Amino acid sequence: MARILMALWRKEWLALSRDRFGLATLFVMPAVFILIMSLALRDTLRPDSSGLQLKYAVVDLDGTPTSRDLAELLATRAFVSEPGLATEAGARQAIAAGRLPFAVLVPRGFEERFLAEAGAPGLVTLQLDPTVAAMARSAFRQHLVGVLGTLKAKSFLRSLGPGFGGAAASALDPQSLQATVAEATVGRAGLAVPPTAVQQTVPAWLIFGMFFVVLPLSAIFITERQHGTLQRQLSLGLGHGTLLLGKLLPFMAINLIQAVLMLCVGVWLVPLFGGEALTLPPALWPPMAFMALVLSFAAVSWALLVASVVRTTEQATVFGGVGNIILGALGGIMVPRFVMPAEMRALTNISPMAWGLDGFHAVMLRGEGWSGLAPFAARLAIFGLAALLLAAGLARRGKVHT
Amino acid sequence: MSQDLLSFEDLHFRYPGAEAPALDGVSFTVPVGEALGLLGPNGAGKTTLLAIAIGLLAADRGRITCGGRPIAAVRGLAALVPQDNAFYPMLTVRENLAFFGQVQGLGGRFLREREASALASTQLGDFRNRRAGQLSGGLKRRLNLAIGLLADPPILLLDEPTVGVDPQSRHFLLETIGGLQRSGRTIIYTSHYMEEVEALCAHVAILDQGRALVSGTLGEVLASAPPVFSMRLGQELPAPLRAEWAGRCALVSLPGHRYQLSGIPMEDTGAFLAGARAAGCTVDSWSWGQQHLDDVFLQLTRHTLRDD
Repeated sequence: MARILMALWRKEWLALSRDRFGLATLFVMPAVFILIMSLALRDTLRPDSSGLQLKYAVVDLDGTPTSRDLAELLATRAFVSEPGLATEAGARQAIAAGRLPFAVLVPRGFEERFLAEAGAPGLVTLQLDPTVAAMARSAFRQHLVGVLGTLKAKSFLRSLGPGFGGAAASALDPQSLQATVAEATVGRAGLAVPPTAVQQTVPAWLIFGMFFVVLPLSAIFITERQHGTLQRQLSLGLGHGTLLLGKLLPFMAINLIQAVLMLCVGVWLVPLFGGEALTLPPALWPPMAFMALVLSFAAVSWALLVASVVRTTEQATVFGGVGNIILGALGGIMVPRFVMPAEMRALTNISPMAWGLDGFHAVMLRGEGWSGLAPFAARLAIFGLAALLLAAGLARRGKVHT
Repeated sequence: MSQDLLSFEDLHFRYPGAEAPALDGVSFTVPVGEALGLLGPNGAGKTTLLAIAIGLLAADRGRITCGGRPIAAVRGLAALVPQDNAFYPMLTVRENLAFFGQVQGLGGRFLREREASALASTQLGDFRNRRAGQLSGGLKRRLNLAIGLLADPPILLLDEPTVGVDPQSRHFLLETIGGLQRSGRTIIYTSHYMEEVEALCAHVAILDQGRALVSGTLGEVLASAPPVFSMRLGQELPAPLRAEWAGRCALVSLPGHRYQLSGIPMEDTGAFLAGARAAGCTVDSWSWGQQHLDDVFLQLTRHTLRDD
């Protein structure tokens, strides 16, 4: 039996090592995804938010101390003022050309209306680029409202007189107020880390890449059926169970090599391109390895089930490839689940990719270790076992074209 | 050993959901160490029969035995060389042989010896390191056969082993298979090429619609059809005479003023020739005797097209 399994495994290795497209699907594609997504989301997910820089301009038509205060208070590390725009038309032009996402139009008479009635509608006008993400627009609007509030508080304190209110008023600037809120990442002490882009991206695209084992595995299955090699092996006395086992273990090994390579991309390659490096404290290695193993079992078993059902390469592409994209979209690989509405977030729980992501996040971001990953690993193991038994059952009942 | 028989006994098999059985009581025998040509139109049940013999399918009824032992139950007793080129195109010739040897439990020096023997039998030694997918059609057929020889099986089930190859490769394959038979192997050989079967097999069975229409030695099968009286005339046979002959025997008109009359005793041939001459026809040539295998085959399977 050992000799037969060794022969089957060696054959799978040789077959896959000579399938350039299969190798590209398994190794290059997820590596490129990780690199691109880590760099693309670098600033958005930087823990101190210092990297997220959105430009804006203030068109000050009022020219009063209050309007100048407003312009001064708006500038933070996240929002950078673009000087030199003096007219509304100029601001419109800059936004239309895509050079600026926002412009704050401070009309004549602003100070007078502001001091008389701070809550007056249309006190200032926020001009914005319609292509700017709703989240960024909302953030800048909240910032503007906050600055107007600060400005109102300052003017109130100043009205109390220089002896009392002046000192308090000077402490009221957005930078100081930012510092009043401390951040604490919830998770195991010492291991929980604020998520960076690479820490969000690596597990997500690693899982996606591991499930793409369905394409080369189906291709080999289809070749075996079309060439009659599957039938020949059965005629030589090999059972369906042996044949499935002959594919399960080598493809799991390939999955684990994928996992190691993708982590290496996060640790070493992404920083070479200016992204943040993936940090993996040694304490996380054993639970992560276990998580990768269980995920691999689920991914390869799923691939075996798909490969047992499909009969042509076209079907493999649709059921396997497109199916994976749907599982990925549903599982929070492509769209982070925290931006999904509540009902969609609930729906993500049906995707095994979501279980894998939750498991990796429990280990990598929350530092929860074995207890944190257990429920997700159990789900993946049950899913993998069910898929494997179904694949074996289909083969045994002759529903596959052997 | 030569008294032993490879017996196909009352085999029945129906595919799930099929209206007609694929095999409907097929029985025939072949002496061990000899070759049997298994003939039949498409869908006759030949491949199904081989699949049962090798254990890929289980017969609904009946059994296939060799010296009383069911052959599918004895590992290594029989090997199937399928119709398809059933090997891995991305592996080399040698890697394919090693793989198919190892999955049969062969290993070490014995496997290397068997690989060498299979390569020598099929003269594939010069191509051992070439990827199987890059071989020509004839070489692929030879590799397909070589894999079947790895475990040195006493019974070889060859399913159309010469399909799609050039005459030289076919000749080589037939020589090789003939050599295997002469070395004592029992061979079941399916083919649509009657001349191959006539050249290779001392025994023949003709299947159609799941039944064995005839089986026995080649001579017995050829004798199972009535002798044919063939003549080629210089002119077309006049219609009244043709009608008269058709009423007396089975008459087939062929292009070029050729006529075949079956069921005519040899002593009556002179009367037919005289009749043709009296009707103003010249007789260019004539013959009387046993039919060829393809005539017998077409006669038994009633000349109809089988599209399944």
